[in-house]
Amino acid sequence: MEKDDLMLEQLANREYEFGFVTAIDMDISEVGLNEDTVRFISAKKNEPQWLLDWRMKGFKAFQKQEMPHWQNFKMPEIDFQSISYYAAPKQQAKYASLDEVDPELLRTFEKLGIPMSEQKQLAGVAVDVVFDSVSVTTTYKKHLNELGIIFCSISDAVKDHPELIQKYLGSVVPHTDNVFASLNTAVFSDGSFVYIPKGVRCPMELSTYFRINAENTGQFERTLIIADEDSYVSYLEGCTAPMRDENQLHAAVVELIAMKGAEIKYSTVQNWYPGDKEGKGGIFNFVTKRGACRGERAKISWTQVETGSAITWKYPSILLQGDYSSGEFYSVAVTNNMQIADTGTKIHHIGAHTKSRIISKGISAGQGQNSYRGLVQMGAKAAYARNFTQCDSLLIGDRCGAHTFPYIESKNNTATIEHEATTSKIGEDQVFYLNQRGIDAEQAIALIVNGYAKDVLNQLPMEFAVEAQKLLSLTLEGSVG
Amino acid sequence: MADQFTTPFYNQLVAEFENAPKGEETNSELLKSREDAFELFKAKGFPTSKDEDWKFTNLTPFLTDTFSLTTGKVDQDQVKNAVNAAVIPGLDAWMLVLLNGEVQFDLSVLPEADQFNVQPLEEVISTEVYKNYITCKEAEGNRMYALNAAFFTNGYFLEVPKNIVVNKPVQIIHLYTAAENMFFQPRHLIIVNENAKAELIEVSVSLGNAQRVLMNSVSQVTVKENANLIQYTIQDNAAEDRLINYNHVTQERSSRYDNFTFNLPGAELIRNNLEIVLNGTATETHLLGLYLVAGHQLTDNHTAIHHRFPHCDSNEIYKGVLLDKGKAVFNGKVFVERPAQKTNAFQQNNNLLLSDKAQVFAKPQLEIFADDVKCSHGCTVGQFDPESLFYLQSRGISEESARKLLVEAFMFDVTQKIENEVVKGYVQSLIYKKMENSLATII
Repeated sequence: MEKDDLMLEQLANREYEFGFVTAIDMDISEVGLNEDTVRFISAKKNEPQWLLDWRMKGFKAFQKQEMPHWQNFKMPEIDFQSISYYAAPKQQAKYASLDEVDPELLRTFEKLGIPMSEQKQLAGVAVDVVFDSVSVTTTYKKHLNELGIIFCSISDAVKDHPELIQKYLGSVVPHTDNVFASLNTAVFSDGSFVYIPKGVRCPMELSTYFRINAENTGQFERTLIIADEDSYVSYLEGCTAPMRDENQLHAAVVELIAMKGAEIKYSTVQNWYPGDKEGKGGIFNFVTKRGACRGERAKISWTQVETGSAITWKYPSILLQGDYSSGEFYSVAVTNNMQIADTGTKIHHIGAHTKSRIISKGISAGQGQNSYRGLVQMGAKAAYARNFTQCDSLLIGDRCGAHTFPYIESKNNTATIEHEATTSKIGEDQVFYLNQRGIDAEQAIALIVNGYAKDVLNQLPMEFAVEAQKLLSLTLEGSVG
Repeated sequence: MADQFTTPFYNQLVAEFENAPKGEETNSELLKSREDAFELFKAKGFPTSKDEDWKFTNLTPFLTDTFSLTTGKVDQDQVKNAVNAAVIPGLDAWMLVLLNGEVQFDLSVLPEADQFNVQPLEEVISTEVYKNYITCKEAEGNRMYALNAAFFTNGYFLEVPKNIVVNKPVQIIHLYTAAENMFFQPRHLIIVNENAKAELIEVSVSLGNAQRVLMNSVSQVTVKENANLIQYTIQDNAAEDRLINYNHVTQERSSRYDNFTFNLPGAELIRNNLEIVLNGTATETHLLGLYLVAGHQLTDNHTAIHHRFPHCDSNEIYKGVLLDKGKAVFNGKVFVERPAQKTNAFQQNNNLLLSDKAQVFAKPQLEIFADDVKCSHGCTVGQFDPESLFYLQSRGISEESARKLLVEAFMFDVTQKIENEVVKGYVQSLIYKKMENSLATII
């Protein structure tokens, strides 16, 4: 037991390694939220009138909505008037090459290990970096352009491809969807836009790195990915933030649209600052993510590794509209110390012969609380639809909690739904077996946890899988003997 | 929200309570609990689909009729016939008959008090015995419970003395009949004392006089140390009936409680809340349910098990077969609190949809705060396995028989657990009888 305690202590004392602040001149809007804030952001970005109108609609919807109360944690008081809704690095000029970027910024990215330098580009990852709210640079643009792939910040897309934005922005997550989506609609500052033309298979992973740097700011980015007929794209998203005593809000919206035969693979490794061990500070990660399979045989897959944030609260969802379309959701959520995760997915089977698969692995340590909340809905027309759900929880220590709230609804008698959930702790016999083979307790636990999460980690692209595995082992290092 | 406050039925209930003579109740504690409960109901009204526990069960259409709260005259011959029809053939059992919640000693067959003691609840509520049962912590905020707590007047009290193994099963027949639309709110109390054992078979039937019966009943059950209780609930009501039940079970150390719930086609609304509180270590709990849903029926089973002490086992299997335009709701909660280490909790819910108009809403739910536990739940919704069907057909069994066989096999998990052979045979025959018509149309 003593050993346990020692290890738990080590684990509890582990510091957040991305908690540095970058000293960069920032252009920050005044705190507070009103119609002028929305106009200010829109003006700052030279937006067309239709976008401002849409922002206003979002703001009105936000004002009308109440904070939700159904979630499985105590809703923190968020004072929307004390947040600054716009923060951007001051040097606003467009960069022709990476050399022109503020070196301080580049050093930040180096610390984060983002492959932005030339050699790392050879690794074949195109990166769009969103620093606080503004997209700083997009790498590898030229090569993508040749294929007709659009990968740029959403503000550039508003200027260069207004027809696509007008058609698709808000078509999956409407401005009235939920209180945070409405807020995002009103004040979103930037984000990534991806368009893959018909029949094109994106030759490399597209990646965005988000970082909240300034104090008292919220991050409200908006991502829109459209995969036209028979195209394929794999998209990666990573996030970090400096250590602050106050909580910061991250309320992003991600919309995915997959046309007939297209496939979108969206992977997230979320490592926002989780707050200290007393639960002070940390990011509130309240994100709305939804994808729509609009055509036949379209496919959307969400993979997420959630290790950071004080509170993670999101349900990446999939609307399976086209016949034979399919959706996948793979998730590993780790909560330690006072962290809370209330996450899961919603899958709406609308078309016939639609398929979905949900694998969710929750790991709770310290006083962490982990909830899986999911909805699988078979509509009346979802003939022969199929779902398989597995959600497992691993408990480490006796002060954490694991909860599952699956909603299973079927209105079609040919549809099949299977759901299973288990909760357990790391078996002493498993650890003993590994010890016996000369593997020490820490490594044994890392092995077991990685094995436990393998189904999900296997879904991640190579670069992320390595990072995620390291994150997992680090977070849970030697927590049970 | 607003509309439920303006329903005539709500107004009628409020007026009824406020105009009732206050001096009648001698027990001040009980009087206070009634008033508190009524305040809650008055403030919040009937549950709506905005309440998480009532999300898929909208009560509103079931409350639009007018209901009388006082019983009228009852045809005694009709009652006798109904009781005779409800008796489980071939079962050697004691018999307790309740008519509209009122204990009918003349129709009952009961042993001497050394086996077990039965009294009308109204005789017990002012005594010491009832003291612990006036409030019910787990039901706080439950408005249908509150409504019952405010109004209940009758029901039965059954107590098995220490160290007694009741020599025969006890069949309890709940009979409902009315000359006009009626609202009943009975309340029952069952105590099985230390080291005792009993088997209760509760059958709920109605005369089917084409009058609507709305029932909101509450049972409180205590299974004391080392005691053992098997409770069957067979709901075989007429289409006009709407049943809402709240069954609260407390288990003390080393006790065992088995609950079998069978919802049969008939009553247009069945809502069962089964709440188990494990109040000691080393308990064993088995909850088995089978719901057959047909016609326009809405059958809703909510179960909750609270693990509060270490080394407790719970096992839950609920299976449903849905026909016609039937709608089923299942919600199974398992709470494992921090002290409840070494808990084993298993839950399974399977649904077979045999009609393309049927709907099912399932929500198995685990909330776990202890780490050294084994908890799992499984839930499926679907059709026959085509391969099983093919297998049987390839062995020369006609498709129709094969389907019947598969439905039987599906229900087998629950029915095979019934230890009492007579009850098992009775339940199976009831199921077949009920399903025959519906199955004939779809197979």
